[in-house]
Amino acid sequence: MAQATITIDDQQYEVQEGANLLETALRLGNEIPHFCWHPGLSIDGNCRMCQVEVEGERKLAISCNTKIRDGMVVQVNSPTAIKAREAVLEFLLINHPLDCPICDEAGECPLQDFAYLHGTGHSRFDFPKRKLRKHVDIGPHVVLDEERCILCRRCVRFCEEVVGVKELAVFNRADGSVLRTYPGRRLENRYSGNTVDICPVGALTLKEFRFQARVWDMENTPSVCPGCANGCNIYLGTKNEKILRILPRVNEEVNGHWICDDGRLSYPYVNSPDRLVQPLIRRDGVLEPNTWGDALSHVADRLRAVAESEGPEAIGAIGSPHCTNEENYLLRCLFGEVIGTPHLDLLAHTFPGDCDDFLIKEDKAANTRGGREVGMVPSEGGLDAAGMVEAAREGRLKALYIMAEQLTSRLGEEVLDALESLDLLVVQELFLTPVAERATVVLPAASYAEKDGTFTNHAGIVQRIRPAIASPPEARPDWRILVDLWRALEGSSPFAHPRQVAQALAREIEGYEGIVDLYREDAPILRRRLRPAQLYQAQWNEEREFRRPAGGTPTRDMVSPAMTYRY
Amino acid sequence: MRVKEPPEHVQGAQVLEILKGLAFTFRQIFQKPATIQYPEEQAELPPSFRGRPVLVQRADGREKCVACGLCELVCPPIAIQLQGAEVDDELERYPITFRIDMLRCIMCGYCEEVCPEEAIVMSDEAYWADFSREAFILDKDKLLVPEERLERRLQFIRTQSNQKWVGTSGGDGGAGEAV
Repeated sequence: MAQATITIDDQQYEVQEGANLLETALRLGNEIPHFCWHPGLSIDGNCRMCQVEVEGERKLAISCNTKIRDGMVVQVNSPTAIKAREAVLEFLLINHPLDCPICDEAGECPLQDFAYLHGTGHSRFDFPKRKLRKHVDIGPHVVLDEERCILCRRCVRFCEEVVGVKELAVFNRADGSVLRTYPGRRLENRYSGNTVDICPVGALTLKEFRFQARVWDMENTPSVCPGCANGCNIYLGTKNEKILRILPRVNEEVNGHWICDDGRLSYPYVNSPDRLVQPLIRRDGVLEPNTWGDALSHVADRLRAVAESEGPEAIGAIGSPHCTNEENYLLRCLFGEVIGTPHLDLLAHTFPGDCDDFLIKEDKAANTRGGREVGMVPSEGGLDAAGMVEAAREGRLKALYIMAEQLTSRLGEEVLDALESLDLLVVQELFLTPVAERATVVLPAASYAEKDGTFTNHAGIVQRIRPAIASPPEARPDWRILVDLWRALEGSSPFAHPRQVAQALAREIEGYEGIVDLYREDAPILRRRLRPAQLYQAQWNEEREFRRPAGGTPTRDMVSPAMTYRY
Repeated sequence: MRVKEPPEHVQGAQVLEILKGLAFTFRQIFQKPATIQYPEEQAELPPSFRGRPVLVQRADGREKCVACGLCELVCPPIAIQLQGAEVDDELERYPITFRIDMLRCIMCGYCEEVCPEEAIVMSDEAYWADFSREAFILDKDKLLVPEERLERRLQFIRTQSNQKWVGTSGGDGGAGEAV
C-alpha cells in the first residue's frame, strides 16, 4: 500500500493511501465524533456526524466514507464542520427523549458526550416530542426503546453482516422511521448482546444489567471469558466485589469486537451465595468447617501416609480445563514429580455440535489445550481419569486429588460410589458438588474472576486473566492452595506466585517461552483498572470502601470500555 | 456620622462623655431584645435555608426519585448510597434502597442542585439527636416527605437558585449561551 502525506487540522501525517479517513484520523488521536460508523461493520454514512472539511471540495465530506489521497488537507474543526456537527446534534436531540436519568447508557453514551462537547447547549424546539414504544421486550436479553433510537442501523448491520441473520430492521421512512424486529421474529441470535454494546444510545439495553449500577460506579478489569475454548477477551464490570456485567474487549485475532451471549451472561455463579467459604474436613462422617492450616496439614499427612504404605501409584490427580496453565502445571509438578504418581489427567468439557462458524466452540472450557500441554496427561503407565475411577472402585487407588472438576458431568453418576471407596478424596471446588459431598477434605477455591493466571485457547493463543474482585472470605486461588499444600508436604515450595510458575513453565514447556511477557506490567491490555470515571464509594456497614476524587464532572479522557475503540 | 474627637490636649474628667455613655446604656434597657427563646420560639428561616435533604413524595406515595445516581455521584462527602431497580410505571426506574448517612452529610445542597427530577430537596429541619450512630443512617422511609410540605423550597429552587439556569426547565430552553 502506498504511503500518502495528509494534513489534518494543520498537522502532517504519513498514512496509507486509500485507507479510511475516519479510522485513520481516530487512530492518530483526532477526535471526530461519529455514530453510525464502527470498525467491525460496513460503512453506512447515515448519521452525517463525522463530516469534515476537505480542502478543494465544495461540500463537507463524511470522513467514514472518504478514502485518503496523497496531499489531502482535512480540517476537522473548521467553522463549517463545527456548525455541521451542531446541526446534526440539534436534529438528533429534537425528538430524543429526556431519558438520561433512567437510561443505562448514561456515562458511556456517545450522544451525551458529543452533545456536551459539540452541541450548542440549548434547544430551540418548542413542540411536544414524538411518542413511540418504550421498554419493548424484543429478545431474551435485549430491551428496545424506540424513542431513543437515532437510526444509525449499527444493530441492523451487526445482525446481518456479523451474525448473518435478519432479525432487526428500520421500518417506514423519513420521520416515521422506527427500529423493529421483523414481523414474527425476535432478536434471539446467540450474539444479541453485542447490539447493546454498539448502540450509541440507550435504545438497546441488556435485560440482565438493566438499572443494576451506573457505569461510573463500576471498575472494569480486563480478563478472558472462561465459557469456551475460544478465549474471548472481556472486561469484567464490578462494583462492591460483585460482577455486574461482562463486556467484550477488542482482540482482532481472537474475538474481534464481540462475545457471545453465553459468555456475556456466564457470571452469576461467581456471585452466588452458595460458594464454599471454608475448608471442610470429614470427621465422624460429617464435613465440618476447619482452618486452612488444619485442612492442609491433614491432607499432607494423609497423602504422605498413603505414599509410604501403598506407594505413589496409589495416588491420582485430576486437573481442570477451567483452571489456569499455572495451576495445572503446579498440580502436575506437585503430584507428578514431588509425590511421583503417573496418574494425572484432565477432562475436556466438550458438547459436540454446540458450536458455530463464529466464536462459539464445542469445548466449553477456557484452557483444555493449555492444561494438557503443561502436563496434566498420564505419564508412562499412568491411568486417565476414567481409569483412576475404576482403580478407586477396585481398591488399587487409595487417594485422589481433584482440582475443580465435577467428574459426574463427564463420567456419569456411577463415579460417586467408586469415590466412596477411597481412603482420601480431596476436592478443590467453588461449590459443594456431589463429588465434593463425598470428599474427605473440601478446599474452597477462587473463580477465574478472582485470580491471576493464563489460559491457552483452542488456537494456542495464551492470554492473561486478572483478579477483578476479592474471593469470598476463606476461598483461595487454586494456585495458592497448591503452593500451601506443597509447603505442608515438603516444608517449602519453589513457587509463591503465578508469575514464578510461569517462568518455570516457560523454561520447560515447548511453545510457552513467551508466557513470561504476559506478566510484564506494561504489556498490552495490561491496565488493571479502566473506568469511565474514577468513582469510589464510602464504607457502609457491610460494604467495601473505595476512594474518589471530589466532584463528578465528566472529562474528555473518560472513555467507556463499551466503545472499546473509543466510540 | 462623623465622630467628633476631642482635641488631643483635652484632659480632665470628661464628665459629659461619661454621661453620654450612661444614657446610651440606659436607653438599651428599653430596646426590644433580639434573643429568641429557643426551643419555645424558633427563628424564621428564609427559603434559601438548607436543612437536611429529603426525598419528595408524590401524591400516590411513591418517591419522585428515579435512581439516576447523580446525587450519589456529586455528594462531596459520599453520604448518599442508592440502588436502582425496575418498576412498572411510566418512569420505569426507582430507588429500591436510598440511604443518606447524616453523619457524613454536610448539607451543601449539591444533591438538590444536581437532581434532574426535583426529587431531593433541602428541608428546613436542621436539628436532631439520637443515641447511636446507626440511627443517623436514614433509609427511604425516614427520608420521604410529601410534596405539599416542600412547596416553599421547590418554589425557591425553581425561581431563585442557580441563576444561570433559571427559566430553563421546560418550554423553550431559555436564552442560555452556548456551553
